[in-house]
Amino acid sequence: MTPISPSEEMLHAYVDGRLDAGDRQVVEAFLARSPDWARTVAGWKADAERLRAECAGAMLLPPNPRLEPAVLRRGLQARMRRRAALAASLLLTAGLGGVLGWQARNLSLAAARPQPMADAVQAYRVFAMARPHPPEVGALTPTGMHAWLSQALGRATVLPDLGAHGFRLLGAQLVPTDAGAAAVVIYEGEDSRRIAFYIRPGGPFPTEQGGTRRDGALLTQYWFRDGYRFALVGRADDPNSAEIVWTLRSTV
Amino acid sequence: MHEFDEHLRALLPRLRRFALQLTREPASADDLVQTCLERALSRWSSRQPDGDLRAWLFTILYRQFLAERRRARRFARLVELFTGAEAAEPSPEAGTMARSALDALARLPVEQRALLLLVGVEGLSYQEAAEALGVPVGTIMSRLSRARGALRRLTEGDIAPAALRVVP
Repeated sequence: MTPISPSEEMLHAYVDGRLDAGDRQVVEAFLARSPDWARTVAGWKADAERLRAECAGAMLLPPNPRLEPAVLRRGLQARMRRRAALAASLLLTAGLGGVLGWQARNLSLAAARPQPMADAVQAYRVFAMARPHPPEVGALTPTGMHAWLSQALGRATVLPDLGAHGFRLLGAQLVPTDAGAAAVVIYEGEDSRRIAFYIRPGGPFPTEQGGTRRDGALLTQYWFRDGYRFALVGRADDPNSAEIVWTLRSTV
Repeated sequence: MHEFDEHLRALLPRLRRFALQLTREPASADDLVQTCLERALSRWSSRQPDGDLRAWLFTILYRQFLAERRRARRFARLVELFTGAEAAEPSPEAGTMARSALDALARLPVEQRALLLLVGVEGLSYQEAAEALGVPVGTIMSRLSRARGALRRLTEGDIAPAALRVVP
């Protein structure tokens, strides 16, 4: 009597030649006394051998040059280079887009930000350059002008005498702004040049503490104090303008 | 590097043969082998140096085949959805007796086909076959039993005993 009965797994391992000598003997002894199983296992073996034989013929496939490892390697490298180039170009595009976008943002911010003291320049153009147009308030006495200005602006305003710089008070004009009334005070020089001193309510511009701006032949010098904006607008080639600004700043 | 190429070149006929039996279509078989080799070439540096190269390549190839088949089936379902036409599936084990062992093999489900080829023809161990097919060794043994029984019925119409008798 054989003490061990082989499992079906052992029979398959026998067919595949994966048993050691002892197990092989056990299986062969079992098959010798089990004709049904002997037939089945012989059939498995025969099938496996036929399969191997027919597959050996399939080994003779015509060579395919595109499966050559060196060719594939070159193809892979080319693909990787293309991918790297694509990635680099995407990165470049994104980077360029970012830079351009940032610049566009700055430009649009700059465009959205009001040019400081544009209203002073406009006031000069309307009231100082339009010569036939008389100022609303004529050349009062200095005291009368001070009273008028202080009432119009709601701020005690004393104007300096610019006679030392060759300018006399011509008149003044009130103009409305979004923050309240503004005053344009016009002086005229001996050569009938005009300058305009512009005072309006409003805080300092966020980015600046005062400065100058050029509009063609016009130069505007502006500054801020106590919730008001001040500007002197005049011809850019006036040599006295800096001194006049200094006088105005120390008086008003 | 070039030593690796030599190994690949030596295994190329086996890979093509395996792929041909899986896809049963020479052009798509070579496509499959090409994808498999490209993966092998690009992954070679990250691969563990121990372990059998042949088993590793068969594993890559079989997984690639399964992935492509899944894609193809999704596409077929999509086509079916839009056209109402049923995709024709070849029915295994149908019809007359097989003319050859490969003919019989072709009628088996692809899992059984792959297993019979890897174990019976390519000589992979059960453990290697289990890794290549992504199933436990126990499943390999039961699947082997079913596959050999099915192949037998197709080649001879023979019925294997249903179960192993206990020998007194």
